[in-house]
Amino acid sequence: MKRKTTHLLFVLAISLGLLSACTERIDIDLQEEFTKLAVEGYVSRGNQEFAYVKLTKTSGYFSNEAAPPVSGATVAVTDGNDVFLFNEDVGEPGYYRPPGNFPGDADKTYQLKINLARDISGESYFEASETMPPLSDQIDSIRVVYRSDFEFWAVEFYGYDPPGPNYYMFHALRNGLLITDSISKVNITDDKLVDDIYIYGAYVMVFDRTQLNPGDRFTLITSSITKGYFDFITELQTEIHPKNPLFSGPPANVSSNLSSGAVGYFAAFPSVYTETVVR
Amino acid sequence: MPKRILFFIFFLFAFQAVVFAQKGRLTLSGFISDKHDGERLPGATILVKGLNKGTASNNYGFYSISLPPGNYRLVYSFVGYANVVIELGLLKDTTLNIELGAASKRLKEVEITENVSQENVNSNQMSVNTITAKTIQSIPMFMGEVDLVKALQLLPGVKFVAEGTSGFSVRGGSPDQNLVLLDEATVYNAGHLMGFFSVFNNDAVKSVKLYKGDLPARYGGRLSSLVDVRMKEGNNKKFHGNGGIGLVASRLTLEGPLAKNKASFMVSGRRTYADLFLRLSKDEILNKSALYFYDMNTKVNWSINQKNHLFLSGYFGKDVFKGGQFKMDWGNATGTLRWNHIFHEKLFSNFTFVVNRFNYSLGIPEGNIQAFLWESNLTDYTFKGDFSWYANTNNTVRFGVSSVYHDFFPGTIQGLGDSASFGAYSIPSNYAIESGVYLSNTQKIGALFTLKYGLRLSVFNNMGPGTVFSYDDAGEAVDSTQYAPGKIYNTYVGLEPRLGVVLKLNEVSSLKASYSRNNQYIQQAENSTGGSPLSIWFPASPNVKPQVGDQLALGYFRNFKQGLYETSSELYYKKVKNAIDFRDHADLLLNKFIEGELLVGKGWSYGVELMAKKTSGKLSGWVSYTWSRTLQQIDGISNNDPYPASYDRPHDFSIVLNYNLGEQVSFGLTWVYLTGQPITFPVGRYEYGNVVVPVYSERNSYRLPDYHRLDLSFTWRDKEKPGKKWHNSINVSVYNAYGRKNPWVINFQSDPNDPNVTYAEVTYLFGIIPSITYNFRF
Repeated sequence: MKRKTTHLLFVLAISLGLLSACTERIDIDLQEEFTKLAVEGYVSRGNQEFAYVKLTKTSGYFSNEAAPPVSGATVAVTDGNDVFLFNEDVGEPGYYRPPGNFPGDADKTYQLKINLARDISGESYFEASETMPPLSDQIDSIRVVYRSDFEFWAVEFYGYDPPGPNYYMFHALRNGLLITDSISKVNITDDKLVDDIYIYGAYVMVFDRTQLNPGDRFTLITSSITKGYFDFITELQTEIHPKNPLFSGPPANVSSNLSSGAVGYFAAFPSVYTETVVR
Repeated sequence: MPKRILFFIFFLFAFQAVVFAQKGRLTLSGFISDKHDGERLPGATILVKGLNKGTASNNYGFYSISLPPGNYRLVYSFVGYANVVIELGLLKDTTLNIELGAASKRLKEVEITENVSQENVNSNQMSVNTITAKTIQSIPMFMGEVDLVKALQLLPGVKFVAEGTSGFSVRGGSPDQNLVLLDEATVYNAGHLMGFFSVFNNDAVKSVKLYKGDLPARYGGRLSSLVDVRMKEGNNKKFHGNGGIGLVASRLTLEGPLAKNKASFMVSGRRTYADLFLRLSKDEILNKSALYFYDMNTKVNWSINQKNHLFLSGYFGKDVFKGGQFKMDWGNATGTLRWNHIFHEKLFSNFTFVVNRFNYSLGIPEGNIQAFLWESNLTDYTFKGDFSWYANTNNTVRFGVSSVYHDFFPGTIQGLGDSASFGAYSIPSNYAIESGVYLSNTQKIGALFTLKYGLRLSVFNNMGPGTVFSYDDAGEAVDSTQYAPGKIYNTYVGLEPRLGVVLKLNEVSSLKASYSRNNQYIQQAENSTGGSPLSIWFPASPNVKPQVGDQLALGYFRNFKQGLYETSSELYYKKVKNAIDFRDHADLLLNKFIEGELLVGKGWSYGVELMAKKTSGKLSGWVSYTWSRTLQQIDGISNNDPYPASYDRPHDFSIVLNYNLGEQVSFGLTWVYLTGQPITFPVGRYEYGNVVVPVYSERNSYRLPDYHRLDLSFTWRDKEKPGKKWHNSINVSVYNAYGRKNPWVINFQSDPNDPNVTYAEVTYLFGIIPSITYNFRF
């Protein structure tokens, strides 16, 4: 809500008699100062989309190429008792996957350990740990409604938020295909305004008119995430959106839960799928 | 402690000087006002010829001077007015009210120069700039809207924080370190329409005085500056009106006597209609939106008798924004009651009561789907008593008390209606009392030295009901304590010395030095550089120590051609303790734990300010150049290393000129040049979740390209004829005349067609913007 409000104000400010405002691409000389390991790691429960660890290297801002993958690393996840070795995907270098389904469990603490074959900026061992939070067992239904006044589809959520701080992440499937195919499209929210109450139709996601059609099978994936991962996504989404001097704070690096200066995040979350038909 | 004792001795010494003042002196006192409209003239000077002694009128136009019995020749003068010379046989205490008339325009330049005072050289204040409403009016302005804050931004040491907005930085301080007073009432948000226009309607303004850090002892609570805006009192002789119609706004001001020479009123209103342009937009959301502001200034004053004078003034302004069902509004309201009372020819007093409030609310009205309301406000109740004791020719003692009760309501948001999909979230209100006691003396020693020394004792109390959280190193709340209503649960005390010395080198030049300390107890939670209305102020507390600023300044002042040209050069060094900044990605809105988002460190700035000003004649205006640096060192930012603050713009050059081509036509020109703003750029990138994420440089280690801009204006007035009542004028202005593309922001984006390709995109806010305004007066 906050971001939408400020965005609208921003558009108004720009258009207000400032009809001459314009943008153009420019060349800027930027120094590349370092190389770091970038980690995108997930373990989950009840979610087939997210169980892998992707390792890449940082590059110069204007390098304009896909991130260079980091191959040949030893990647393991432990839950205190068991050790799961993740093997590199032969078809996709840099992707490390568990052998079969990963048995994630709420309240368990998972530790990710990475040993690189060749070090990056002097570091070869990295680790992170994350405790999988519990998810409400009372997520009843969803409804997809069209708002003709704003010309968008809204996903209404019906369910109970358990007491205490909870953080939610929402993905969406349309006819079985993931439409939240990048983290910029994922929606996250805290329960500041709904703590310990039955949520009666709050909008948890919105889609443009063209993104859904009546008759579509719509699936909402609700995940319960840690505050750390919630902050990480919030920060990431802030940093990839355009800034404006009226509302934006200074640019700042996205946080990370990895050791030894690596960037990225190792996340652990349970998910539940809720389905409806778009009418 | 030894410091305190030192000050005590200092004051003892000072008061001896006063008490042992010579007996057998007589007092000459009175008010100085404008002959034409009866407005009191602050800062007018009185010179006793032969004795080479003099004084100046205070903020309310009152003066008082002690002299032995005898015959005197007194010269009353004020910039832009003809001198009045009085021959007086002083045999008893005498009251003498003086009216000054405007200098005739028919006089040649050389003759006018003789009327100009030497205030620049003689004044015991340094780091001060005064601008009159008339000067402000002659400066070319954005969209033709005459704006006091934009005029201040052209002074040495003052910089805008984002192009076109009314936020400003004084000597490197942040905008919330400026105490902006409108008739003694604090204005917490000086911007309308996202800050592109200031809340001050120039038609209602008499004068504005900017103190850059060296605040008089009677003011405190901010580190960087005091902007003292005084509203017009209203013509107490004749009924008059003036107004204007511009591209974005219309104005109307009416003023006149309620009882001739006794009481008068002034009322002034403005309304913008810029949002009419939005209807032209192709964007459907935009063309159904509304965005406007209106404001109103009113003032009534009543001269009960020579000894008692009442002023009642108010400001009310509101910004409104509507888009679809969404509605948002925000505004300031202030009310000031002042009572001037003369206890004695030598003891002038002023009592002030102020209520001021800043609030905003936004939401979707009840009855709609997803209806909600978000509200926030801040209310102050202020009492002040200020006394000036004109002890003798050489000593003017000022003392007084002030107390402000702050009521902070940081915000609450709640769903509305039966089908509300969410509940309420509130940040508890909190309360504080900010008080001050001060004593200062201005002492002339011989013909060459003037000393100014004062001490302000400030006390800040947090008062219950309140909840105080304690935080761990990461800023997470770990515990909380509740305090009962009325309980004082935290107190800070500050001793704030203010010292100054003027050494007059000769009739036309002087050296000045000053030292001042200020404590700031309330600040704004704002980490953007623009003027978002959605910001909150928060007080010092058990978790937040007051910010303390020390400033040392040295200056050389020289006038040429009897004050026709004034020059000044100042050096300053400023240090801030407990400087506040915010954690990366701080959440400053609707956050109970806002104190956990704070980072504390220190700041320092230094610089040279040069200014040359031509005060009257066909060509008038000023040229100023500032070289300055502003650095900060905050634990938790840039590896705890010093970094340039956002307001660090080393080179700052301004030219402001006005050329009168006869009585009917004048031209205005403004040119500004500033070093580019320091900025943080990405120096690397990585992939996460199929997007490119930037990795940034250290804070502010790059700069935007330099900023420069030329504005021009042309004003035509119809001929002055005796007996003519209605006067017209037309002002045509061009903002950014040569179309400089000044970057407002540079964003780094991924190409939507190929996410691997990243590019930098610059946004320019203003191209060449012409405007036309029609003004009238009667």
